[in-house]
Amino acid sequence: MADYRFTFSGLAVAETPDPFGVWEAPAAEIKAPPVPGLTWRAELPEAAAGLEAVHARLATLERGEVHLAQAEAELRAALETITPIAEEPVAGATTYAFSIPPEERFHPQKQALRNTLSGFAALEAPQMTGVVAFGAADVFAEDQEREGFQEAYRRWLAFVEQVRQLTSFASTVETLIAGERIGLTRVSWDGDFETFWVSGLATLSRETHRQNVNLVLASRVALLRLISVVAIGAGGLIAKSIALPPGGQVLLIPAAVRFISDVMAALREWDAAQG
Amino acid sequence: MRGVGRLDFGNELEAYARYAQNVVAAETGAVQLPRQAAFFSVRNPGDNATLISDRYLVRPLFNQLQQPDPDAPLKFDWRFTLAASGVRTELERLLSGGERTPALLFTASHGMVFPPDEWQRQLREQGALLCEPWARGMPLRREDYFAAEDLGNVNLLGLVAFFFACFGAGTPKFDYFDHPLSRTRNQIAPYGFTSALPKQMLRRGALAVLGHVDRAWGHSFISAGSNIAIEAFVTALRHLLNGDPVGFATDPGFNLKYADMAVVLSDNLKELQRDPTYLDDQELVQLWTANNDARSYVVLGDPAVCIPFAPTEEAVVTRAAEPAALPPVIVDRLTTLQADLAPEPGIAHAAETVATPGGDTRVDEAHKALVNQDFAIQYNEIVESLKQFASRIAGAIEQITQDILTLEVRTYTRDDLRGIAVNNPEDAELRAVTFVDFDGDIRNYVPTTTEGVDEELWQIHRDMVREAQLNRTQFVSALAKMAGDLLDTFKVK
Repeated sequence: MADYRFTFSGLAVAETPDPFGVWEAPAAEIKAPPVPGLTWRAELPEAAAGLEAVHARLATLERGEVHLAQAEAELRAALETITPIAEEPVAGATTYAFSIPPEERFHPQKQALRNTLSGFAALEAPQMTGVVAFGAADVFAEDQEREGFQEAYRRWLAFVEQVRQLTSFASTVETLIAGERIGLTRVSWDGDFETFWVSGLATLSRETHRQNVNLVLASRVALLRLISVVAIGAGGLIAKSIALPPGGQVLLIPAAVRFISDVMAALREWDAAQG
Repeated sequence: MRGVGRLDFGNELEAYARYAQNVVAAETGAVQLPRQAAFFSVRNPGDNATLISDRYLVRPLFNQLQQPDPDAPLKFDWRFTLAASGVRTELERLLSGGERTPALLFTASHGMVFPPDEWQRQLREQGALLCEPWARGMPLRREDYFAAEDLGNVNLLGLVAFFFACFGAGTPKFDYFDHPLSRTRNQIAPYGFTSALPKQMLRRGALAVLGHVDRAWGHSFISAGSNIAIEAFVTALRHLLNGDPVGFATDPGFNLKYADMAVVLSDNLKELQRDPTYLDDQELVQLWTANNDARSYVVLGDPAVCIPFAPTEEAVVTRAAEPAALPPVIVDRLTTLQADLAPEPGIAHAAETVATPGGDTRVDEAHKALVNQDFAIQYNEIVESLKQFASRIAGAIEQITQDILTLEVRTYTRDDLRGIAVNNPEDAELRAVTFVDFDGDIRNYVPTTTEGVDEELWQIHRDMVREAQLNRTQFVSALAKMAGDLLDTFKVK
C-alpha cells in the first residue's frame, strides 16, 4: 500500500485529517504549493493498479458520504433522545441534567453531547462547594475536556480554511504514475478546467487521471456537505440548550464537529472490521 | 490583619510620599466622596468557581448590605450598584478615576496565576483580575484580564477596594496548600511579593486594597456544611461603610474567623491523635484548606485610613481629574534620598531560586498549555472569522452567478509535464477548448492532426467538459446550501 499515496496539501491545512479517510497529509518533505490553493496528488505505481486504487478511493469517499448522512441522522436522534430534566431546586435555583437512554447507539459520542449541554445548563445552577480555587490556572488544569474541545475547533477552522481556499483559488489535481507526472488539471474556484496531458499518453493512464479529477471534485463537494451538517448539528444543539453565554452558539460548533467526526470514524472502523 | 497594613513600593520613595500626601488629603477633607459602593462580579461561562462566587458571595453580600440590621446598622445612606456585567470594560469604568470611581469597590473573580519560571510576568500580572467574556475551555487573551499596566494615569483618591481573587493582594514564596506532611515546600514565586495591581492603585490615590495573598477558596464564603457563610465580608464592609478604619473593620470578621477555624482545626487534630476515625480525610483536608484560606486576607495600605465619604450630599468634594503634584520641597528631598538608594535586587534574587523538584507542576503545565498553545485563534476572532467566512461565501456565490455565463475547459499537451507551471501554460500546446455559454451554446475548438480530428484526445476533452459541467452544478449547489445553513445557524451577517 505504500506505493499508493493520495495526498492533500494547502496553506495551513496540511495536518488536518480527512474526515472521509481518502486523502492524507503529505510527507514532511513535500511543502505547501508555491501558489495559493489546494493541491491534490495521486502517486501510483502503474496505470492499471493505479486506476483500481483511484476507484477504491472513490468507493471510500462514497462510503464516507453515507457515513456522513448516518452521522447526521444519529445527531438528530441524539437531539431527540437527550432530554433536559429539572432537578431539585438548590438555593433557589432549579438545576437541569440531560439524560440519554443507556442502550443508545454511539452512546459515548452522545454522552459527550450531553456533557456539553449539561455544562451550559450549569450556568444557571452552579454546584455549591467551598472546594474551588479562584486562580485562573486551577480552572484550566481542571478542564479535562479542553484538549479535545480545541482539537475539534482546529478541525472546524481547518475545514473552513479549506472552503475559503476552494472559493478563493484554483485547485490543482496531479496524477503521477511511476514517479512521472502524466496529468495535471487546474480547476478554478468557479469551475473552469485546464488540463495538461503528457503527449502520447495511453488511454488507461488518461482514464486514471480523469478519475483522479473526479475523486477530487467529489471530495470538494463532500467537504461542503460536511460543513453544512456541522452547522445544522450546531443549530440543533443551540435549540436544545437551556442557557448559552453571549456568543455561545460558537462554542457548540466543536461539539457538533466532534460528534460527526467521531461517529464517522466509528462507522469507518466498523466497515473495516466487516472487511 | 488587625491594625496591620502593608505598603510596598520598593525603593520608590516618591510613591511613599504620594501615598502619605493622599492619606493626609483624605483625612483633612480635600476629598469627600459620594457614598457609592460598587460591586463587580465576574461570571465566566462554564466555570463553577465564579458562578458560585457570583451567586453565593457577591449577590447575597450586595443584598444583605442593603437590608436593615438592628445589631449593626448603617449610619449613612449608601448607594449600592452592581455592575451590569463582569466584562473588563465595566471594571475599567469603575477604575477610571474621577466621578466614575466609587468610594468602595468590591470585586470577585479569578486572579491570574503564572508559574515561577515566569517571575517577571508574575511581578507584573499575578493576581490580575480575569474578566468576562472568557469562558471555561476557551483560550485566554491578554485583554481578558485587568492588570496594573491597564490602570493608566487615573486619580483614585480615597478609594478603598476589596479584591476577592487568588493572589489579588500578593503571592507567597511557597505554596501553603501543598501536602501538610510534605518535607519540602513547593516554591511558587522567587520571593513573596505584593501584587502589582493594588500597588499601582495605591500609587494612583487609593487608600487601601484588601485581598488575598494566596489561593482564595470558596471556603471563604461557603461553610463546611455547604451553607452560605459571608458574615466576615458583611461585617467588614459594614464597618467600612460606617467610616471605621480599615484595620479595625476587618478584625471582627476575618481575624475572628481565622482564629475560630484555627481552634477548630487544632481541636480536630488532637482528637484525631486519639481516634483516627474521628474525622475522615476529606473533611480534614477541607478544614485545613479553609483554615489556610482564612488566614491569607491582608490590608495593603495604612490600616488607620477610613473611606473619606461626605457626611451629606452638599459636602461632596469630588476627585480632581489628575492626582495632585508633590510639593517641590518634598520632590527635592526625595531626589536626594533616592540617589543614595541601591537598585532593587529583584532580578538577581529571582535568578538564584530553583523550583523545588517534585513539586506541584500543575499550575506550570496548565499555564504553558494556556499561553503556548498553537490554537492561536481566539474567541472573538473565531466569531469574526465566521462572519468573514460567511461573507466570503456569499461573495463567491454572487461571483459564480455572474461568471456562470460561461464555463471554459481547455486541454493542453506537452512532451514532459515536469516543471510545468499551472499558472503559466505558455510552453504547452493548446489542443482543445470548449466554451459553454449560459444559454446552452457550446463553442468548440477541436484538436486535429495531419490526418484529421484527434479522436482520442477529443474524447478525453469531452469527458472533461462533462466533469466540469457536473462539478459546477454540484459545487454551486453545495456551496449555496452550506452558506444558507451557516447563516441560519449562527445568524451571521
